[in-house]
Amino acid sequence: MKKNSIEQLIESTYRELHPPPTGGDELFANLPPQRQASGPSLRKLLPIAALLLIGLVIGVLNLATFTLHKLADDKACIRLSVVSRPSSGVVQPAKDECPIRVAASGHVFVLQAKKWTSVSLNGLGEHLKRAVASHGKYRKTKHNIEASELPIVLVVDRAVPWQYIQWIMTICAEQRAPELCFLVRPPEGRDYRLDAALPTDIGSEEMEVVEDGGNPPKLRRKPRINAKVLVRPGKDGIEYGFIDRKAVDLSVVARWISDAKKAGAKVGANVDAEIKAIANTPFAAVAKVMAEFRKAGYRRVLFFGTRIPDKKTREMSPLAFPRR
Amino acid sequence: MARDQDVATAMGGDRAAFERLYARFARPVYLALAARLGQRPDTEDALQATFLAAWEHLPKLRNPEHFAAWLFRIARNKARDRYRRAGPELVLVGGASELIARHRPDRPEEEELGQLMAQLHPRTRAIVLLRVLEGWTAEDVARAEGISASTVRRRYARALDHLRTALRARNHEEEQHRATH
Repeated sequence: MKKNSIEQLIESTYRELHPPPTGGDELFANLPPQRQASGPSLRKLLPIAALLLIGLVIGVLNLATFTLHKLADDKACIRLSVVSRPSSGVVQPAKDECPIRVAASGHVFVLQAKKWTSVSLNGLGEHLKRAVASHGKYRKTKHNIEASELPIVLVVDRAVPWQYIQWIMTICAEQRAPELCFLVRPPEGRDYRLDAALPTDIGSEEMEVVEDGGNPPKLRRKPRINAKVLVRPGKDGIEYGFIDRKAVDLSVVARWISDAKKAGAKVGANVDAEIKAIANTPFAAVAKVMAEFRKAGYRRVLFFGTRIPDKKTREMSPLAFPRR
Repeated sequence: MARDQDVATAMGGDRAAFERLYARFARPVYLALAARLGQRPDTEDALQATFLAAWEHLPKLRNPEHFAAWLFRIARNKARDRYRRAGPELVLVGGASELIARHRPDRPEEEELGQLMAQLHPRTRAIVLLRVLEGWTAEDVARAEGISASTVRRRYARALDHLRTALRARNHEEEQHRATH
């Protein structure tokens, strides 16, 4: 059908702006298993209905906990700071900290009666509940939720998949313990700590006054720029970052996020640093990108948490990706 | 119909069939997402998420004929999730998003069109992009967007009228401005 002049203008404007999307190879290289269809049966529905009723009652009673949990599922926020440690020593948590060790095998260890004990996510939740109660110090967050000041320290093996860490953070949020710190020991260079805070501590939006010629000045939200890096494991075990869907090495990531910070400063925009990682990305890759953000002067990095998929995952030890 | 065969085969786990579906639907889905999200990284993320979810849940699709509508519904949900998570500051720099408008001093009419497109409702933008760039009929767009074909035609006609009138008004203002200076 022949196009009129406005349609021709739209086509010429957007044909170039919207080329055919790329990324198909990446998508098809990592297709997960399909979920099989299964019809509901009455036998299956009755227990589900009973559970829903119980869940409704518990949900009403625990509204504050749910709020914190939901916030944790949406976002978590890492404050980046550095504490220098000797590179030859093993990084150890301090005495008053609550350490959680995560091994590459998926085992999660906590200190119970001075011994490292392997626990499931449910077990971790119970352990943190007792630790929070025993620590006894709380503060009110900006969402008016009482958050524990228990300092939790995650000592994570470099090969641990990022998904496991997200689940552990969700468990911490469920126990209203949003303060986390990663102890990171890279293969070379200084050990460092990465402080993490769950979304109770995300800062409020900034407003700014804008002059409007002769008219009264206006108040508006400060513009924001999003500096996002997607991290995933690469071929042959080599780690990549992705920017604009192109695989790039760490030096390019570093340059790009530094440029984003400068661009933000030029236009007076806040720059939100965000890291997304595919579930099976090793922690080491994410930690490297966090470190680059830190070097570029970012004080905070956002990432998205995940819900723990089901009861089975909460009970498994060691952790594993759920089979479908 | 070849399309239904590919859907039915992909439902059985045939990756090659799903690749053919991707080749067929990736760009229209991308346009529908770009109309809503505006930023390339967000749009491409949402596109990947849409097709991943479609692959995972494809065995549960009851009627292969409804594949397009189902796929676009997933895409709209992914766009909505993305928008909710990111908040209203979806990287709008300079007052318009990068996939809707761009700075073209050599083509001022394209720049003006972009600014006017940015003012349209996201669904209307999606309708315009799908009809003009993909050549979809009103019925095709209606199935994808989950609205009636008459609504598609009405919104499309109004959008083009609005764009045409606004561009003419701007051109007229510029001519007057040149004439007086």
